[in-house]
Order: sequence, then structure tokens, then C-alpha cells
Amino acid sequence: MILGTMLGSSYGALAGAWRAPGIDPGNFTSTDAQVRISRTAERGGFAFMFLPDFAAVRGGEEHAGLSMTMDPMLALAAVARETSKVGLVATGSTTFQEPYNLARQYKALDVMSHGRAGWNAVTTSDPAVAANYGRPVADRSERYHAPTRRSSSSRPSGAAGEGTPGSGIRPPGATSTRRRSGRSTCGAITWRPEVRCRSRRPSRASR
Amino acid sequence: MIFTAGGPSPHLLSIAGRYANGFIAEVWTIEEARAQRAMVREAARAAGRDPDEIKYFAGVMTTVAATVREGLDRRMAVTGDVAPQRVRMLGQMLGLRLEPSRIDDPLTADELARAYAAPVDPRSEIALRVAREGWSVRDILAHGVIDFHPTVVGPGDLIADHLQDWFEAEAADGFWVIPDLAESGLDAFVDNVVPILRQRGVYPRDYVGSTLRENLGLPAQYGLDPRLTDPAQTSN
Repeated sequence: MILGTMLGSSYGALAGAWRAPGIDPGNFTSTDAQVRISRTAERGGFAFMFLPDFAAVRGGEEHAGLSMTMDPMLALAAVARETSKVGLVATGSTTFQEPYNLARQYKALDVMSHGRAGWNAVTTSDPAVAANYGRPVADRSERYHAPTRRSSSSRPSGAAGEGTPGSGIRPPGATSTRRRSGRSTCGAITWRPEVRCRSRRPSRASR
Repeated sequence: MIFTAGGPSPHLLSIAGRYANGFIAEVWTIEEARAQRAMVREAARAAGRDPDEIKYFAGVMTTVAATVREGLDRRMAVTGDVAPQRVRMLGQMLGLRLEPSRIDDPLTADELARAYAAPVDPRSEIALRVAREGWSVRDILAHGVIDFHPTVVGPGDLIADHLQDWFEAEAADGFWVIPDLAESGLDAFVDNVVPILRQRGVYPRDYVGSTLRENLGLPAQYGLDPRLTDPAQTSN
């Protein structure tokens, strides 16, 4: 059995949790609270923290409190350096962000956390978010086609970590990416070290 | 490492089947979760992947308390008096006409005999089960029967039972645990539920490794799965 939990507003799921005894109403921008929560999860062996995102201000703060106001990648970058085992999964929209920016940020988080980054790929159809990017809401088939382009852009084209004769300029464990697909082009070359993962498959009961 | 979340629409299943290693679901019953998990695993198989490479997580909301009664009282103290405005909705879920004026009474024997889980709301089955336990209308609502995920209120072993039942029924590979209060609620879960799960041998005593892939029990992968892009490497 695998457990994960949520890093959201740092209030809790109950309506009105933001004004509950022992809860700091300022938690919605508290990186310290996110670090404390993540360390608690790590104490319990949780595999991942999941940080949702919504790139606009939502109403309803009277009951739920404010939430999802801070950039998730920056928040998880801070948590990454204060924890050592728990996975760090953040929501990233495929609809409004450029593939290169997404890939670069998640790769950086993966490197900073030594292989603990996860991307919750979501499509976005909310007009409030679209307005923040100055774009119209894309139709459904376009929204769901976009993630495949983003995933492709993280494909390594080199043999990771394997030195090829004559390729002396490639650092060990680095790969380059070059991808062009449809409307969206990701033509930049990035150099990122590979985070190595031992393959070890536990039995179902021990997970 | 890619996650997806949401309902199993054909669009999402197509993306998840090809790319996802984690699928976070909003499901209410073991039967529903088993069926949905099977769909997600089939989507992975259809994409030429091993279904074990996609882990299916069911959401669960928790209130850890010494007794169910204490947990319900604590939840109501935090949420304030929101129950009266939800009584009619609860009635619709149970196929009954319920008025806010009788909020402190349990359902009568006649009502329980007529009640059914209205198919319009997937949470109705949980509401019906809680109602049959004899709680007042106010307490039924305090059980979180109208919320984003199934809610379990009570001592650690009750919550561990829920998780173990779903896990052993192959309704989930794991759970997305959402506590009632962010800090004290998660502390309580770690202190009161995790040790029971470990004692029962259904949850690991420590991390398997240090990467997210290792701790989800996934094989190593760097960049895109070659089985998705290179037909020569498709294994099944």
C-alpha cells in the first residue's frame, strides 16, 4: 500500500479549517507550514506530497480560506531542500504553459530533490485562468492533444550517462533534447544530469 | 514521473494509459474503484505498458479521534452550523423528503425502510450506510457524506480498516490521504493509523528507496517510454 497526501492551503480539508484552533490563518502563504507538513508525511513513510494549483484567484475564501496562491514549483523547491525521501508532485497546466518552461522546471525540481519530482499534468478550461494568460479557452480536443507534445519534449535523444567515442563534450549523465511538434516547438537544447534510479521492485504487500 | 487526476474520461484515460505512473481518483465505493482501476490498468495495457506501472490512488478524507462521537463533535465545531442547509440534499440522496426541523432525530424505521441510494449522486450509498447505523441527520452530515472524497471519522483502527479493505479488494494501489486539519490531522494519522497498517503488514516499515519512482514501486525510466515511440521495442 502506498500513501500520499496533500500540500494545499495548509489549513486542512474541513470547511472553516482556516479559523480552527491551532491553525494559523496566515498558513496559505507559509512555506514553513508546508515544510512541517512534509516532514510529518515523511515520518509516516508517505510516498508523495501532492500540491494542486489553480492559476487564478478563486472565490469562497470565507469557508475554505485562501489557497493555491503561491507558485507550486517554488514551494516544492523549498520543501525539496528540507526533506529527503517524500516525493514532490505539483500540478502543471499543459494548456497555457510552454513545453520548454514546464520541462525545465520539473527537471530542475527533480535534480534539486535527487529524483523526487512528479508532474500532475492537467488541462485547463477555466476562463479565469485563460484571462490571466490573455488567451481564449481551447476546445477539448486541442486541450487533450497538448500534453502529448509536452511529454515528448522531455525525451532524451542521447544515450544517458553513456560516453560515446568522440562525444567528449557531453558531461556524464547529461542528455540533450530537441523536439518540434505541431503548433508548439521546443527547439532548445538542455543539459541536465540524469537522476539514476536503482530498479528494485518490491512485492505488492510490502509497498 | 507523471500523474493525472480526475474522472476516467476517454481523453484522460488515453493520456494516462500512455504516460502516467500515478492516477488520483475521486471514487466512492470499492466496486466503483475496482471498475475504474481496471479501466486505468487496461488503458496502460492498450498502450503496450505493464499495468503495474500505473498506480491508482483513491482519495480519502480523515478525522482521527478516540471515538466516532468525539470526531463528529470536533468536525462540527470547526465547520460551524452548515448542516441545516444540507438536510434537503441529504434527503434527495436517500430518496426521502427531509426537513431541517428534524435535524437532531435519526431516520425513523419507516424512513429507513423506504430509503434508497439515489443513483444521481455516487455518494448516496455511503449516506445510506451511515443512516442505517442510527445516527441523527446532523451526525450523518458530520460524517462528511457530502464531500469531495469518502470520509472516515474515528479511531485509528477504523481508518486502517477502510484502507485495508479497499487495498485488499484491489480497489486501489494506495491512497491520497486528506486530513481534516492540515497539521494536527496529519500528525494524528501518522501516529494512530500508520502503526496499525504496519502492524498488519500492509504498509512498508520504511522507504524502499530515495526516489519517487522507487517508493512507488516503479521500474527505472528516463525520458519517454521507448515502447511508446519505437515500435521495435514494444514488448507486448
